[in-house]
Order: sequence, then C-alpha cells, then structure tokens
Amino acid sequence: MKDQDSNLIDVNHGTQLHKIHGDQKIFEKELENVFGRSWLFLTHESIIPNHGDYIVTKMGTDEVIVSRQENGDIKAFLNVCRHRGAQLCPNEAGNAKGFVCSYHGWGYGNTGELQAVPFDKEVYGGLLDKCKNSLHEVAKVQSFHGFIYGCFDEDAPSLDEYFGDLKWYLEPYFEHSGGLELIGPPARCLIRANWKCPSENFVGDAYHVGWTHASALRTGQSVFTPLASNSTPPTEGLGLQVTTKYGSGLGVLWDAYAGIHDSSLIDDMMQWACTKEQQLAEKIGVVRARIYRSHLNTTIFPNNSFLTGSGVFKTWQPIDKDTTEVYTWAMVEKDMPEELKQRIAISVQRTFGVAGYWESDDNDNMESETYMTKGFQTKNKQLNAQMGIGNDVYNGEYPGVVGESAIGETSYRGYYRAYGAIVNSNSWHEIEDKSSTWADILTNAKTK
Amino acid sequence: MTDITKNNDPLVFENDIAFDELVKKTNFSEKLNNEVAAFLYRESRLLDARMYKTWHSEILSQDIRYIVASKELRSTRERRYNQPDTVYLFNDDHRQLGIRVEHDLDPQNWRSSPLEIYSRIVSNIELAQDDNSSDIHVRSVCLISRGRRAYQLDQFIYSRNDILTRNRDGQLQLKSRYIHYPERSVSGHNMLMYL
Repeated sequence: MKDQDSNLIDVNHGTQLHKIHGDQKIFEKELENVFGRSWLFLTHESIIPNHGDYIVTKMGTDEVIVSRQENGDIKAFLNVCRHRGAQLCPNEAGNAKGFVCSYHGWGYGNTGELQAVPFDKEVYGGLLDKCKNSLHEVAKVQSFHGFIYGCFDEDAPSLDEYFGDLKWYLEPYFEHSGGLELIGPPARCLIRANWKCPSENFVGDAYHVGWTHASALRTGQSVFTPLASNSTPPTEGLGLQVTTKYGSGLGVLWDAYAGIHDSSLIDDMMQWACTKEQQLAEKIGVVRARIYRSHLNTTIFPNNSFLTGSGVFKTWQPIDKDTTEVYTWAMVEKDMPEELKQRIAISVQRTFGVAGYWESDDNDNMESETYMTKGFQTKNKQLNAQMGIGNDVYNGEYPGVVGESAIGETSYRGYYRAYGAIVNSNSWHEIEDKSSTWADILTNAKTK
Repeated sequence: MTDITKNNDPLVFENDIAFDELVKKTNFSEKLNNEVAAFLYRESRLLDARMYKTWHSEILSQDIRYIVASKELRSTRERRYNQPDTVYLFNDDHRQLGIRVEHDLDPQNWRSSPLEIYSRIVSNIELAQDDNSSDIHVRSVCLISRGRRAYQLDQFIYSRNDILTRNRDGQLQLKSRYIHYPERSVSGHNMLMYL
C-alpha cells in the first residue's frame, strides 16, 4: 500500500479510491493496523454485572472472551486454547469461574490463568510452565460511561483521549441523562459488504436519509418523515457534522430525539426527553441539554456506530473484505420506565435489526458499493466526499472540526483522514506524527 | 399447552412435550387436516405472489402476534447468568405488520425492484387441539427460497408454531405465529419477508 496507493485517501481533496471497499491487501493492513491499534467496542457493563459473567465477541477477526473479575474489573482474552488453538468457549454469554477446552481439557480461570492440565505430571513430567500458557490478554480495557472498549495496542491513547472532542456531544446522553444500558442479546446477521461501508454511513450521512429510506419514512411516520423522497430541502440550522482527531465523528439533527421510531412511540419519547432536557439545562447548560434531546448519528472509529435517541447501537465486525457481521442492540436510558425500554427495544429491532425495514434499505447500498469493487476499472476510480469542503471550522462555537449544516461530508473526511493515518502506520507514535496537524488538514481541504 | 399470545417466549422444550401430548389426544378429522393445509398453502401462495394486502386483511386475525425469536448461544448447563437470552427479529401486531406491508409495496422501496422471486414450501404439518378451545395449534416446517438480483438465491429454513382461530364467518385465520429462528447469525442479506 505504498506507491500505487499513495492516493488511496486524498485528505486534501476529500476523495478515496473505490478499492478501499474491496481489496485483499488493504483488508489485511486494516486487520493489522486499524483493528490492531484502535479501541474496539466489547460490551456494556450492565450485560456482565456479576463476578464470573462473561460474553464472547469479536475484535477485528479475533474472538475474545470478556469477563468480569472478582474485584469488579473487566478483562478480555483471545478465545483460544493455548495448547492446540481450539476455540475455548462456544457460548455467547454466561457465568463461569473458568473455561475448559473441549479438545484435551485444559482449564483456565476467568482471570486467564492456566489452572488445570489433564495428567500434568504423567504426560508433561511437570515440565509444562503454566504461567507461560495463560490466555492471551487484550492489552487495554477501559470504559466510557459503562460502554467497555478494548485495544490490542498498549501504546494507544486512553479511551478518554480517543473519544476526544466527541465527549462534549456524547456526555449529555451517555452520562448526564443518568446513564445508559444496552438491551441484549444482540441480533446478528451477515451482510455482503465491506465493514467501512456502514461505518462511514453512520459517521456522517444525513444526505441519504430522505432518498434511501423514502419508503420507510413514508410508512413508518417518524419525526424524520418530512424528509421522505427529498421533498423538503435541508434548511439552515437543522444540524451539525463533527469529526475528531482519531476519526470518530457524528451528525447532529437538532431536537429529533425520537429518531426512527414510528408514531406509536413519538409522543412518549419526546415527552420523556423534553422533561429531562429541562432538568439538564440547569446542570449542563441549554445547548448541551438540547444536544441530549437531539439525534446523533455516530461512529466511534473504526466500527462501532449508534443513533442516540433512536437507541440503535451497532458493531460492524469484519469477516473478510466483502463480508461484515452486524450486531444490533437497543440502547436505552437507565431511568426509563421498563415498559418504555421494552417498546424501544422492540422498535429498534423492527427498524434496524435483521428484519428491520430501515436497515434493509441501507444494506443494498452497502452491498453494491462493495460488489462494484470487483470491477477492474471501477476499483481505481475515486469516490467523492467533498460536500461542504472548505467550510469546516475547528473549535469555533462547537468542539472538533465542524461543518455547520445537517447535511455534508465533514465526518466522512475526518473518518478517512484518520483511517489513512492509522492504516499506513506501524505504531501509535507514527499515527500521532501524521495527526499532529489533523484539524488544519481538514479545514484547509478543498475540491481542487 | 403454553399460550404464546400471553407468553412471548415459551420454554420450547416444555412446549414440545405439551404439544406432543395434545397431538396424541386430538381427535383429527381429515376434513380439518385438509382445511388447515389448504389455509397454509394459500398463505404461502399469497406471499409468493406479493399479495401482501390480501394476506394482511384475510389471513391474519386482528389480534395477531407475529414473533421471530433469535436466541443467544448459551451453555445448556448455564444456571447463574440471568440476562435475557432472546432478541425478537419480529415482534409485531396487526398494525405493525400493516406498516411493513405498506413499506414493501411503496414505489420507492428500492429493494423490491427488480422484483424478488419467492418460492415457499410448507411441510410436516401437524395439528393439535384442546378439547375446551376452538383454537388449532399447528406445527410446520418451512423453506423459503428468494431469488433477487443476478446472483442471489437465499434460503431460509425454520419451524413454525402457529395458532389458528376462526373469524365470525367461520374462516380460519392466523392468530399467533412463533418461530425460533435456527441460524443465530442470519446469512440471507436481510429477513425482509414474512416467514
């Protein structure tokens, strides 16, 4: 990915080569450098509240066990027996003091230590060093207001730094609301799309909503319904786009808390959010309280996306360059009435789950973007993310690099600036070097 | 017999035993067997033909509960972990299914053009009936084949647990459908269809 791909990501002009969505060498670089160095979503603390609770999930293409320790900490390990490499735990979740491999019976504590080896003395003659055969532990595990992320690279910045400017936007909903929880288990499905197609869509694509989702908007009667068929042009002051140093970004649609939910939920959700907004205004100010009641489409770089308000929470796990496994949870506020939580959870899956009538609108676009990379000529053509280029500002009225309109591609450009830096770097030191002037690079970008 | 209109998530194993007990006690008539089979075949044909509005108004009862459940993979010996193990891919009533039908038939539903071609197979139909209820419990095994675009042929195979009832005119209608979908990570592009 050097000479021939030097224009893979053209940060200065907001373009990318189409092959980023379907090239084997790029995919392998991504596994090594993007998924090997970035913070990746693991679980929510409410899903593993007790000592011994665990879930099994993915970090890139690697399976990991995420386990609650006796002291309340959370650790993550590769889900692989150290002996001959069999899958250690076939379950998705449970509570266990340890894990026993079904192949030869090696047993590990949930601390990751190898504790039991059948016929240890007889067959190894006491020569097997158990201390050197603990489970491979994920280097870092940290929490953002209950949302647990892991990182394979010890040198990565803290999760707090990684969220960076995004915290200002996310804290009203994630923290000041009283906190969130995920309703699991997740729905799971495989789509024939490169993992970045949905990640980039969620990071900053308000443009597609009125057209891609025209039928869902018309029939579902949500707060977004006036956008159906692009019948209403975007007005000034409808929202913002935001991007940050490490590629995470979001779009704000002001006052649209109820998001994608249909008319049966709008009144209850908007009433809930208006009441809380008033309480929050005194605590965190009018603007951030309004952000709580707004709708944020977000991707935490590289592959964790969510819609605040709507309560849609996703990971896009790479299987191969053409295939992504989608995990979908419902995200709700902890202090909501149980009945409202359940209605939101059902509606999240109805709209953005495996049989979600919004999700399926998107999937065909994601799959076709990926499929088209098989075209020999096509894959070396440029993709355009230039909408709003030249108008982005850094640390103006709002934190981060911001495009002050609801519809634009500021967050795409920031996502791919970080992607270009990370996928082509062999260390966090290198990534930081390439990112020291990240905001200038983005605000100085232009079409030619 | 577990009434799944009251309990969205019957313990399938217990339900299987109860169903088998009921099958053994049920006094079948060939006429009823044929009527139920014809009802399920008509439903399949209507859906294959994308006659969704007819399906919605004639096949479904007004109090329909339509559930497709996906269950998290847990150890069969798991006793201590008590977080929910089920996510509902469908959990719809008559109104919500009506929204889906409108969505399917909307001229700007890009997914539906070019047309998808469906072929449904319904098999292993078994009936069971309580003495003190007119509801008919029906088990069946189904296969849906969906051809779309140039290269996609997706197959969905699953078992159904239905409850049929009769409307005022004596016609059979679907009152409840519960499917525990067997493929945990669904591979068929999307499940935007009626199972």
